[in-house]
Amino acid sequence: MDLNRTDDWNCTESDRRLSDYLERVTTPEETAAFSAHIEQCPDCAALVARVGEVIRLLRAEEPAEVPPQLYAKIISATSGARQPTHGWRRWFAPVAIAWQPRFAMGAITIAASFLIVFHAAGTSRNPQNMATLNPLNLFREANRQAHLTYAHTAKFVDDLRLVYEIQSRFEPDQDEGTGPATEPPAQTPSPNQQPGQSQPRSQTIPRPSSRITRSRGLYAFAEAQAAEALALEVPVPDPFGPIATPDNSPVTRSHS
Amino acid sequence: LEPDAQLVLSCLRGDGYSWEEIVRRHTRRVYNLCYRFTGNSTDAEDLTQEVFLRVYRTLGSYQQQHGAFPTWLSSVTRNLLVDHYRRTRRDRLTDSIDDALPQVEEKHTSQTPHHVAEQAELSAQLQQALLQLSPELREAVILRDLNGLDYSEVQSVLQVPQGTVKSRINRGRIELARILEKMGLRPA
Repeated sequence: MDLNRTDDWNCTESDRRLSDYLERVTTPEETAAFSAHIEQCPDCAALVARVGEVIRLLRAEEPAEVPPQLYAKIISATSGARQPTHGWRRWFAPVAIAWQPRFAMGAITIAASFLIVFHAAGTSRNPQNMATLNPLNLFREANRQAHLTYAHTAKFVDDLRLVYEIQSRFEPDQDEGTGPATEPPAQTPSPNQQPGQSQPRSQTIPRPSSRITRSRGLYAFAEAQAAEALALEVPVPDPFGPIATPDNSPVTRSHS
Repeated sequence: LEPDAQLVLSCLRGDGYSWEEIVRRHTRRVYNLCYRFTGNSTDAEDLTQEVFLRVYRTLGSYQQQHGAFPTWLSSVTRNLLVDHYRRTRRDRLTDSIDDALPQVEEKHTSQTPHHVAEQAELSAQLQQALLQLSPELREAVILRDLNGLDYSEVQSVLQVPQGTVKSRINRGRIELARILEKMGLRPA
């Protein structure tokens, strides 16, 4: 068929070349023949308009929304992994364990431990600069910390030894005095005790008061107590107990 | 090397993250092809999963010189859609009542003057008309006009001569225009 002749272009040919015509892939001669035909044929003209509209509608269609769970379902059904692969996390993909909560908790614990150790070692008190990183300074600081630690330990042991020494000297007097502290107070009420009144403090507190220890310092108090005890060989009056009699014999320790 | 081809290579080397990237990039395309062909979101979801399961198992058979990865993926999808169509043919023949239901609902919703609702109605009518096409014409029109493949890509997917591709697309469009006219849709 000679397509250059308009009168040879019939409705069948229009149907067959409709998409080519609308997509502009026909030759100029074919286009001219097609156009001439549809000017004379209202049915073909209407069909061209309808098909043109169909193509326009189809191409304007928005893609259907993918169900949100579908991606996870596919991964679960195939590789089984669920780690996201995009963004900065992909650099940590080979160490997938790093994303587990227990690993994070462990890492935090380790970091906190190091922080406490460094703080206790005194490094955080000094301003950090390049001089701090000098090996000589590091050695000096470590040496200083070691000596300080040794001195503190030695002092603590000395204090402790002194306290135990004083305590051991009080032991004979405490045998009766410490008993009621662990027993129910109402078991053997004192004849002088009024209803509702608690046990006299002197019976239960032969040892140094913690309040005094705190206010004056353990060392100073222990030293004073030791000096007094060694010199007089008498029990120390309790500052919270009844006032001692003028002859300096403590009433609180006289009755058993 | 194209990004898709690189991802396929990494995936074949055992990199699970490349596979996830492939899925992330192409789920939309596969789902849309399935949804347009079946007209049912549940079927489309199941078929999309099936497609990726098959792709995961046969990724080694993809060769770049035979075409772009999206085209290969469309071929796998199309083959599964044809299988699905044959599998469900008997069900469709006996389910004429179910087929009628969506049309009734669409006619009801077409009364709304709202533009968005009109668009949704138009889209639903188009989908309904697509489903009335024969599967050969339907898949050709979907690949060309909804998925935007060119004629040679459609030819690669359908594995038929280019003349057949052009003929199917053309006949599919004309058939679609006639169906929509019967449904009461006029050109704007």
